[in-house]
Parts: sequence; C-alpha cells; structure tokens
Amino acid sequence: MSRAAGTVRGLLLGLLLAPAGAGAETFTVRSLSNDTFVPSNLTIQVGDSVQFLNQGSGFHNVIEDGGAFRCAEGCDGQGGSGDPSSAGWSFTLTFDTAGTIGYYCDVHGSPGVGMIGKIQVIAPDSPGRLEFSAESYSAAEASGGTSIVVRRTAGTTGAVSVHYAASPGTASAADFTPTSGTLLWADGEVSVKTFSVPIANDTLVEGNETVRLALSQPTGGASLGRSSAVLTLVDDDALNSPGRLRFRVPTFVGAEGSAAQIGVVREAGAVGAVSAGYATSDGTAAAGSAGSDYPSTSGTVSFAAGESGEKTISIPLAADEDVAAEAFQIALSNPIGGAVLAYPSRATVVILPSSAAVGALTADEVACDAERLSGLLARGRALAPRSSRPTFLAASFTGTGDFAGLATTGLGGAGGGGGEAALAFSTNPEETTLLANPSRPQLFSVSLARNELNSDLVAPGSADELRLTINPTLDENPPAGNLLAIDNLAAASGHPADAKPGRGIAPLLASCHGDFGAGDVQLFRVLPKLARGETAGPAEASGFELAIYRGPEPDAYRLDLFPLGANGTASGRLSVPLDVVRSAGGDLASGTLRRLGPCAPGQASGCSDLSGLGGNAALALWKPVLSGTPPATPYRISASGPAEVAVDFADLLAGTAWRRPLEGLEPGDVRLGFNLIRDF
Amino acid sequence: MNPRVYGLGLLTLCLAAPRAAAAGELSAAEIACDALRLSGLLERSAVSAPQSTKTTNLALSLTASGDFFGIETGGGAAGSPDAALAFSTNPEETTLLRNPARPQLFSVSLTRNDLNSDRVVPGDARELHLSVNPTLDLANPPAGNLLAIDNLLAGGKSTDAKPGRGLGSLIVPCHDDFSARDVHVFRVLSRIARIEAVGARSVELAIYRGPLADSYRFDAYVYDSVGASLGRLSGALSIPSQPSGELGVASMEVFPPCQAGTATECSSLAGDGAIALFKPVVSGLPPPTPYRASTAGPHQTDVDFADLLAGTSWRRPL
Repeated sequence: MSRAAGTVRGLLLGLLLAPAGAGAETFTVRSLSNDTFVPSNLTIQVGDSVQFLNQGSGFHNVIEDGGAFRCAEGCDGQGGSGDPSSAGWSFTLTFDTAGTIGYYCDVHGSPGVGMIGKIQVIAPDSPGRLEFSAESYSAAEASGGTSIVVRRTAGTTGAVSVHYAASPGTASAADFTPTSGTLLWADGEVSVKTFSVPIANDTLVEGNETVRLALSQPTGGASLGRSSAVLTLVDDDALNSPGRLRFRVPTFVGAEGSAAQIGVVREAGAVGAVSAGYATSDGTAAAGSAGSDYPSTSGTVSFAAGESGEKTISIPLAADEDVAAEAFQIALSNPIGGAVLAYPSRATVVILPSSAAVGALTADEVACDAERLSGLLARGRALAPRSSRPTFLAASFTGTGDFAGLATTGLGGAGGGGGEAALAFSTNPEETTLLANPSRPQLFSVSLARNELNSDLVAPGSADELRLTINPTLDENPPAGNLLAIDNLAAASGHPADAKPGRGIAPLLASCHGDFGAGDVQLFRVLPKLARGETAGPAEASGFELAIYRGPEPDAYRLDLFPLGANGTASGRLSVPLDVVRSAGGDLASGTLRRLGPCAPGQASGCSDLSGLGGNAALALWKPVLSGTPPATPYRISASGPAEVAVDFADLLAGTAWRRPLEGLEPGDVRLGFNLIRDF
Repeated sequence: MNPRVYGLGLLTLCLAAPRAAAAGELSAAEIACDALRLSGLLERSAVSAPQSTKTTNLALSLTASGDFFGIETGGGAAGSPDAALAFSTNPEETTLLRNPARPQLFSVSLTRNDLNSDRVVPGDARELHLSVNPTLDLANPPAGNLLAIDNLLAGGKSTDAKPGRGLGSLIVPCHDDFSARDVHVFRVLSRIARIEAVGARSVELAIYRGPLADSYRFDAYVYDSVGASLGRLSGALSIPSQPSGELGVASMEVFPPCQAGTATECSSLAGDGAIALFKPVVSGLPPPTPYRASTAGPHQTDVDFADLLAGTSWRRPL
C-alpha cells in the first residue's frame, strides 16, 4: 500500500509534504466498489487532515475539481502517481485554508457528476452557510400552498439572516402568490427555517408550471450555498375536459401469424363518454378474402365517462409465404362526445415476415467458437464458498453470439444431498466506454448480468451461495476489484450485474459468424441444465467447466468438459460431439454422444486431452426432475468407457417443455427481407 | 499443454478465422428494419426523472451484434449538467424454468452500464428511471411485469429480467454486425446529440445506420408535458473519416416536413425543431455553441468533428 501526505492551501497551491498540526483531527474518506466516496460530504476545520483510502475496491483516484491535486498512489508532482489504480492505496492531505473543495474520481466521475465528494473547510468561528434544502420542490394546485425549507450548515457562530423570494417562472401571479421576506437564526441555532408559498387552485388545463425560488442578502457573515431552486405547480385540472384521442404511436409492428395490437389513447381529459371510428386501408399489404395479409377492419373505440388511458384494437396478421415486410394503414375519424383527434390519428402497421435460420458452419468458424468459449472459461471462475461439492460452470452463446451460461453448486451443502442452486448469466459487450470526462481514454468494457429467471436466489450464508468472476483484464493476477463479479444473493448485498473495463477480454467478444438458429439456442440452454462432469478415484476434480457450441452441420454440437485441479485450473479435456435428430415437428428425438480419442503429440483439436484428470472424467446428461425427486440414471460417456452412447431425448426430456425450440420469433429465425415500406 | 488451448493460439485463431462480416452498405429494407426495431423499443420504453423538471432524453442505438444500447439523460435543476443512465439489452431468448414441465418463456434482460452512468442517492435531483414493457399487453401491463432499472446507488436496481413475448419481433438483428466505426458513432452521437423543439418535455432519439458506410440517420420522437406526441424530427448525417481514421468534416441535415402521402425521409414535427451536437465538456464548464440543423433553417450544416471533439479521446473508434 502506498502512502503520501500533503497540505492543501485553498484550492490552488501545490502539495507540500507535511504532518497535520498539533490538536488537529484526521478524517477518513473511503472509495468504495459502488463508485462512491464515503462520506461524500465532509466538514472539517482549518488545519484538519483527510486520509483518502482505497482498499482494492476498484479503479479510482482523487482529483480536485480545479486540478489542485491529483492523487492515488501518491500525488502527481509529489513523487507519486495520481493515475487511477485499484491497488490498495492511501494518501493524506492537510487543509489549512477555509473554503469548499470538490473532488472526483477520474474513471467514474467528473466535477460535480458521478463519483464525487466535497470537503467543507470552515474557520473555527464560522457563521455557516444558508441554502435551500433541495434543488426542486413540487406541489399540487389543489394543495393550496407548500412550505420551502432553508437550512444553516457548516457553522453556528453569531446571529444570521437571509432574504427569500418566490417569483413567477412559467407560472404567473394568477397561479400563486409571489412572496418574500427574511429568515432569522440566533447565535448557535442550527434548526431549519421554512416559508410558505400560497398556490391558487384554478380549473384550467394548463400543464405543470414553475415558480422561481431565490435566497439573497445573507447577514452576520454567513455565506450562501444553494441559493436558487424551482417549485413545480402540478396541474390537476386535466380531467375537466373530454380530452383528445390519438394512436399511441405512428407505427405499429406485428409478426406474421400473430395479431397487431393497435393502441388508442385518451388523454388530457376524461369528462363524459367519448368515442371515435377507425378503419384500415391497404398499403403494400392487402386485405381481402383468399391470400389476404390481414382482414379489412373498422369499428368504434369508446371510453366511458371518467375513463382515460389506452384501448387496444387487435388485428390478426395472416401467416403466408411472403419474405418481405408489408404494411397497411389505420386511421381514426368522427370523434364524438367533445373529444378531439390529436397526432397521430393515422398509423402504419408493419407486418414482419419470417424466413430460414442459419445453417452450416465452416471448420474455422467452429474452432473460433471453441476458442471464444475456452478463453472465457479460462478467465471465469465459479465459487461456492459454503459447499464442499465441485462447482460447475457451463458457457455457451446467445443467438447473437454473446456469452450465456450457468454456474451451479453441484449437489449443494457440505453434507451432500439436496438439490443444486444455479446462477445463470450472460455477457453484453459494450465495446467502448466513453467516460464522463471526454479527455480520458476510451475503455473496452463488458458487462456481466445475472439472469434472475433462471437463477436460485439465496440469503447470505446459505450453503447454496454462488459467485462468478470473470477476469476482463490483461493481467493474469489482477486485483479483485478489477474482476467482473456477480452472485446469487437475494439480499441488498447481492450483486446482480457488473461492468468493468478491460482489454483482455476484447478478442473474445466478436462473434465468429452469423446468428445462431432457434434450435441451436435451445440446445445451448437445455444442455447446461442436463450436463454435469464426473471424476472417480483418488484424484477428484475441484470443479468442472463445460463449453457448448455448434458443430459444422445443423444439429451437430460439441461439448468440451474441463475437469479442474485443486488449484482451479483445467486438468485435461474430454471432447464429446453430440449429433441430434429431430422429429418432423421439431422435437428433439434422439442423439449420439461420441468421445473423441486422445490427442496425438502436437495435436490440440479434434481430440480429447486425457492427461491429468481428463483421464478419468465422464460427462453425464441427467433427466431434469423437480427438486426432491430421485434422479434417474443419466446418459453417461466417459474417458474409459464406450466411445459412443445413444441418447433418447423422448426419455431424457420426458415430461418437460424443453423438447422443441420456443415457438415464435427468435434470433436466427428471422432475416427481414424488407422492400422499402412505402408508408414507414 | 493447456487443455483449453487448441494449438493455434487464441488471438491467432480469432484473427485468422472467418468472422461475421461487418455491415458495409445497407439496403433500404435493412435501414427501415433497424428504424422499426428502434422505434418499436422506444414505444415500449418509459423514462422519468421524478425529482427534476428538465426535459428527459432517451437516445437509443444498437450494439455491434444488434442488441439495443441506449443512454437516458436528464435530471437535475434547469441549466445543470445532465445525469446519465446507460443501458443495454440482452435477449436470453428462452427461459427454461426450474420446473421442467412448465412452458418455456421468452425473456429479455435490461442492464445498467455502470461505467457510463451517473449514480445518485435516492431523492437526488438527478434520479433517473427507465422501464421497458416486454409483454404483449401494450395498454396496461402490470407494473411488476415491466423491465425496470434506475441510477440509484442505495436500493437501486442495476439489472432486470422479465418474461414477455412482446419483444420477440424486436430482438432480431436486421443484418450482419455493425462495424467498430458504426458502434463508435452511435456512442458518440448518443452522448452529444440533443433535440430542441417547442413544447418538448421528453425526447426519444433513435440513431441508426444509413445506406453508405459513413452515413447515419436519426429519428427523434418528441412529447409534450402530458406525454402527447408532437411528431417526429428526422434527419441524416454523412461522417467521412480522415486517412488517420478520425472522424472528419460531416454534413448534417434535418429532413423537410412530410407532404401528403409521404412518411419517409421527412419530419412530421408539429412546430419547428432542431438537432444540436454539443461539444463534450467536463461538467461545470459552459457549453460552447453547438452545431445545429433546424427545420426553421439552416436545414443543413457542416460539422467539423476535429473541432467538435477537440480535446477528447473520442475522434476515432477504440
């Protein structure tokens, strides 16, 4: 841990190495992993010191808003470096002039925004600062008035006062009573003061309006803090008119075989019952009988007295052989009951087509997928800190080629038994991070998010607690704070998502080919649920990692199982192609697991590395059962058993909803072959 | 031998292997498809800055692989710097529930990008919220069915995943991956573009590619204080690169008002509107005069990115 000490005189002087003066206090400001300084607002007296501390909780540094100091592992210009660092660092500054010092972290903030803090340095006998308690206030018209809070901070010496005024902004004097006056504090008094702004309760539909609030003319040596604010008068008269009718948006989209949901909105009033007619008209899509794209539709949309919001017109869209998108029109007309039509009263409905999924992959594309997954797994680690069972981490892809996977505890609990807990995740490359400070270099970054619908969330301390980390950096042994880290903790202490910069993961983020088909995505989701690694004998694996990817032909898949040694690194690889056969209806019917033979000297692909724990590893596909149900015998292929194992998916997935891809539009199912849509 | 290494070496293989081709020229159909996807997600999105009276902005574009990426900005007092809530979506396509007998569900996740977001304590004037409706119920979906995140530090929500078939037709990319340059331009424009329109209380901005490799489009959907649409301001940018790869002198235009029977390459804004590109400055510094194209004129303006992005690291893709 590096340490430095210095003195800050006002905001402008350089740093001088010096200890704090006798009788002065030293305060601590910590930089946290949630990108905050704590405490972010600190009031000290002249001569006091502040120790800034980062205990490996992220890439942080501390920069004074005007550049008077820039510190992390020491300070620039004082023999140290102010570059952001996640190494544990601390430095101490002594402040010997009254004033306000704002600061920020270069990576996570800029002056006044983001990861920032403020130190108020006061003279021992300061009268303090007078300010509004907030930047903005609001009050309903019907409230009749509201109170505005003014506070005294950073000192209590002497009697002080301040002048206040409430004056028109977008609101006029007809909407409220302009008011002004003086607020007084006695010597030593710190209580907040208030003044009232009377508000007129009119019946006009005029929208929200604003009142300007100002503080001025402080006395007794007090300074002004936040001296201006805005009061919003919330209009509550909208329901005094019949209102207006419109489509929710000018363009609606629906898929062939589904129904377009056309929203009609009543707003800005709900007095009385109102209605409007609607009717469709052809565009590139045609209504009619045989071979039509949609049924010609007309009718009336009605709202009852007092009813506002949205009504939906549902129009079925035919499933046909069209490969291009088509569109038709729908229009509102003849409003009744005093309502008026508003933009948009005419809308376009676009019908999206569907077409074939991605097909064969080349050998290079398959190898590229394998490299991406093995690269991610090499950087990933699943931890089950309260379970003695081996951890399991499966990684595969989303339809668009981002990573998705599943970590489990094995059979959780130190004593064995019980079901597994799961932590499902996906990555999302954000490619380039433009920091809030535009002069800072761009950063590669990637986010890691928990898929909560597929994860078992547990309380802290549970035997099923799971953590997943991924190293996005170029450093093989990075500080913990630089790792992407999520967990399956349900409490506020859980980490459902994380984003970190890191160039190390950049080569892994680019997809190797076009989108995967729906059938591929189905296997990528189902197999992590079913597949588990096994080892036997005196050398047990501490965990397993599994890469699941496509083979060259449709319905050909590859599973690479990596048993992990005691140090958490891969110790061998069992490579298992899986060829599946589907029924005419698209259900998974049967499959064949094949074990690739041992790698010859110099051979790295198309084989199993049976050195280390790979020599006694097995891959098992388990029937998914509800927790508490005894597990059935799995389909198992091992390094030493039969080289092929037949899989009956009708048996393996019996009683589940998992045998066919989710029906409907999915990535890879749709390649939009649009003609120019005339009315888009 | 490291059993995870397949002999050629990761970087070598990844560079040598055929990759998904970056989209070069796009057809009119592909452009329309991108625009539809973006407008479709925008119509399902709702932003709010409950402690602020400032205009909120939601700029939406795409990641390289065609997922959604956006930045909500606003919050704070009038005239104060905007706060940002950056996010991306990740379609998880199929959710296999723990009970394997239960039907599969479509699902999508929405995740805050912390590195690009300004996070605040609850009640702060810069508090920002974003929700996306993933359901088939466009009119009145239960609040609990919405994807919802915010920029709160304490008690905030950084990611959400919900089932819902409503996004099924929007999550599908329209063409091959975008180039690194496209992604960079999307990110930069999301940061510096603001829409100015009379009566605007919130603005939704879709940024996407045009037909040529250096051409871009935008559609801004403008809403008033009660959420009523004021129409759409559309336009285009042509941003050539210098030999060094840096963004050069661009041409930016707003499309003229739509005439009867036309809806493409035109603007339907009820009043006048403009797109302004602001020079990115460190918070607290006064913003310089932006580059601006307006329906009130001039409709077209040159944008010198060397000037616009001077002093930044944003002039070329990472």
